[in-house]
This record gives sequence, C-alpha cells and structure tokens, in this order.
Amino acid sequence: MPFGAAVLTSYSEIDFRAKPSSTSASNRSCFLKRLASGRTFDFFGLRSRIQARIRRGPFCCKRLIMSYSIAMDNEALKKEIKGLLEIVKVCPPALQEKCFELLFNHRFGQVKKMETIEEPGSGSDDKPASSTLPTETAKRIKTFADPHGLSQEAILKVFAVGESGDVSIEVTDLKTKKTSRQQRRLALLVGLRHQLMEGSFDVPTEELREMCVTYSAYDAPNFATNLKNAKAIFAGYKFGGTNKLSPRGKAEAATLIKELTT
Amino acid sequence: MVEDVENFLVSLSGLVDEIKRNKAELVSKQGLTTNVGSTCKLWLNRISNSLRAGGGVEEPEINGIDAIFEKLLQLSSSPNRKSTYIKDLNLARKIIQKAVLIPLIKANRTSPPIWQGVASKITAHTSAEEKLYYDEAFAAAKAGCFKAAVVMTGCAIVDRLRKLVLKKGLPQFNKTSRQLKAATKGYYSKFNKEFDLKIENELQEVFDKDLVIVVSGMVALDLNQTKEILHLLETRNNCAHPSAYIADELAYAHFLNEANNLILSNPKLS
Repeated sequence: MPFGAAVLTSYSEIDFRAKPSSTSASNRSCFLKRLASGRTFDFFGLRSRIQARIRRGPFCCKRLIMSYSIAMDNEALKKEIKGLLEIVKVCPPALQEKCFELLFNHRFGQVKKMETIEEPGSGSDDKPASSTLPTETAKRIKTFADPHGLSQEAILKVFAVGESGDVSIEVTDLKTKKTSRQQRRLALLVGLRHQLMEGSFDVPTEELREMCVTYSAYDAPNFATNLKNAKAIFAGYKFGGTNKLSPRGKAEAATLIKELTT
Repeated sequence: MVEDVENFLVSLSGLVDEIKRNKAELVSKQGLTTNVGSTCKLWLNRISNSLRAGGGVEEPEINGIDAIFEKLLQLSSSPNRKSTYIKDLNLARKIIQKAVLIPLIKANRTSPPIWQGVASKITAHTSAEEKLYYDEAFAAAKAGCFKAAVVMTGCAIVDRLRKLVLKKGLPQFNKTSRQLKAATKGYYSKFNKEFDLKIENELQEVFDKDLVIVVSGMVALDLNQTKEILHLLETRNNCAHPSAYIADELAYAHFLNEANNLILSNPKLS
C-alpha cells in the first residue's frame, strides 16, 4: 500500500488526546460559546453527550471533543491531508514519512490546542489541583476522601503533593495548644501522609518525633506516654518502630482534616 | 541514641516525682539518694560518652550537663534539701531536651521539611526570573537560615507588587494615591502620601508599606488581606534586623503559605 493511502485509512485512529495541562480559560469560553450557539456541535446529537461528559469530568470531555472534531470535519480533513501528501511527494521516499509527520503535527497540533476543554468553573491560572496530581496519588486521595465525605480540595489544603508523588504536610496550625493533642493530631497526619504517598497508613515513630519537634509539640519525657494514651488510633499499638492507623484513627484523621480546613 | 536519651528523660521525670513525694524537707532516704546517684552515673559514664563519640551535639552543652550531674552526685552523698534536687534535675531535663535531644532528632531527620510543599506551589506561580530568587531563598531555608529565607521571600513578593503596578501603569498608581490621601474617613483616612511617579524605576523609592496600601486601593483588595500583607512585611523586617524574633521552620512555612495565598495566587494581584 502506498504511504499516502496508508495514512488516509489510518488517520482516524490517531490519538488526539490532549494533555490535561494544555488548557486555558479562553479556549474553554470559546468552546462553551460554540456549544451554546450550536453552530459547530449541532451534528450527530452529540451536544447533549458533551454536556453530560462535562459534568463527568474534563478528561472524558476532552476525548469526546477530539474524536468528535475528527468526525465533524471528515471531508475537510481528507482534503487537508491530501494537500499535505502533495507536499510530501516532493521529498525523497526515505524522508516522506518524517516529512508527513512534521507537517501533520504542525497543522493539527494547533487544532489540538484550540479544541482542548477544561472542566467548567476552573480557570487556567487556577487549575484544579487534581489535574496536576500523579494518578496514583489522585486515586488514593479519592479512596480516602469519598467514604469519609471529604472533598479532594480539603485534603490538598492540608497536604502538598509534588509532581513525583511526594506528599508533605502543609498545614502550620494544628488548632490546639495542648502538646498531647498536637502529638495525636500529628500522628494522624503522618499516617494519612503515608497513605497518600505509599498507600499505607504507616506512622513511623521516628517521623512522628521529627514532626513533633518541627511543630514545637515535642515533650520528650511524655512522648511515649502520649503515644500510649492515643493507642486507640493505632491498629495493634507498639512503641518504637512503625504503627498503622486503625479504622478509628482513619475516621479521626478525616474529622481532623475537616476541622483544619474550616 | 535518641530513644536512649528519651528514656533517660523519662527516668529523670520519675525521679523528680519520687523526690516530690518525699514528705521530709531533706532528702536522706537511702533508696532515694541511691537512685539519684545511679541516674547521675548513668549519664556520666554511659550517655555522655556516647554523645561525645556520636557527634551531633555541641561539646560545651554536654560539659554543662555533666557539671549538673556531678553536682547532683555530690549532693546525693549526704542529706540535702529537696528543692535543690528538684531545681537541678529540672534544669538538666530542660537542657537535655533543648540542647541534646532536639539537635539529635534534627540531625537524623528523614521526613521532608514542611515548607517544601508550599515552596513547590509557589514556584508554579513564578516567572523564570523570580524563580531564581525563590530558589536562593529555599536554599537558605534548606541550610536552616530561616531569617534569610524570610527576607528574600518578602522582597520577592514586594517585587511582584511592583510588577503589578507597572502593569497597571504609573498614572493609575499616582491617581489612587491622591484618592487615598483625600479620604477623610475609613481605613485609608490615615494615609497622607501622594505620589507623582513619572519613570518606572522611581517606584523602587516608594516604601513597601505605602506600596501595599496604594495597591490595595488600586485593586480594591479585601482589608483583612491588606492587613495580613502588611503583617508579612513586618515579619520580614523583624527577620532583617538583629532581634529576639525567632524564625524556625514552621514560621517560614507559615510565611510562605501566607505569601502564596495573599499575593502570589491572589487573582486580584495577578
């Protein structure tokens, strides 16, 4: 099969998914205007499907728009690709594929950017934190937040998530002055931090001690006693080493997040 | 080592409680004095030596604690006042926690500093030029120089406000300053400066406090936010001059968080 024909038969399989970050407020408003006017998207009854997907989330919506834009401008695209192939023919055969790829990316890379859409209600400068979260961390946040009736935003107010999935406690005010209570709260936050980072509710004693020092909540003679008094939040408490949060500890951690973010 | 010292502090607390429970004014019970003696020997013969060998704690601090336990060891050889024991034991407890235990924990730290999370958020809002400045501030914080980091971050946020003024134009800045000066009631009634800046670099001559007040008027910033920004400037100034002000890791994390929320990610100031 000649190169051009192969391209024409397979171009619809090209993955047009856009990066979640390549969005902007102007693109979004542009899309919404087009959607509202019905000039562009009034084919195939897809408007309602797009609206439904907007509600479901940005990623679903982006994929649909991309696939839809291909279907919508099918004839126009064929013409454009034929035009590109005319140019490609000028090149030596060995370079034709590369040349086509470059021209294609140059032409449709722009389209891709223009037709990307963001979830309504979020600005380009103030992107939802979830869009930049590593997938695993986003999943873990959801797994913890949903059953406890927490919003993702609330968790992200207390924890900062790095690009590589490292999580750190961000809150500086534990909203209590009592050292033992501060220590208990830090234990809950450390456990939750490990859950978001590694998927375990681990509370390493050493790390807890460090956090207590940082938050000026370290009372060395009573550190072990405070921990023992808070053993209900740990599953099978043992001093030293690593403990895990118990179901009660997890529930308490969720309550703490609510308290710290209100 | 940390756990050994921590356990030692627990035993010291127990000893203090035991002495407090002693009904007589003088500590003369043999059991009690023996306990004091063995605790002192534990420190002097074992823990002190391990700390010297392990490093991470200043030598003069260890010497100071050694001196307290040597004194206590002498006291335990004859009946002495309860209050003297309690005073010295409490002093030793305080010094051990502050000068031994906390430096040891900090030296062997495994968790990331808490300001790092906010720092990564801040760098997402900054230009390449600003990022270089913030990177230097974060390097200072990494080295434990939190006052330097606060000053650098504070200057960077003022620079952001200057850029905002330049974006909106000097005439608007001048006009707002005139309007605020003319106000006779309300928050701005005490503001009595009027600017007539013609060239962009003249903006550097405007005091930071005046800049914040005029900018707040320009963008109709929430008054609570304005007050908090002024508080940030005050914190920066406190860190810039020798004083008893303490800027630790938590204070820096708080400063960064406030700077991010109030200025860098504030839609009115972008």
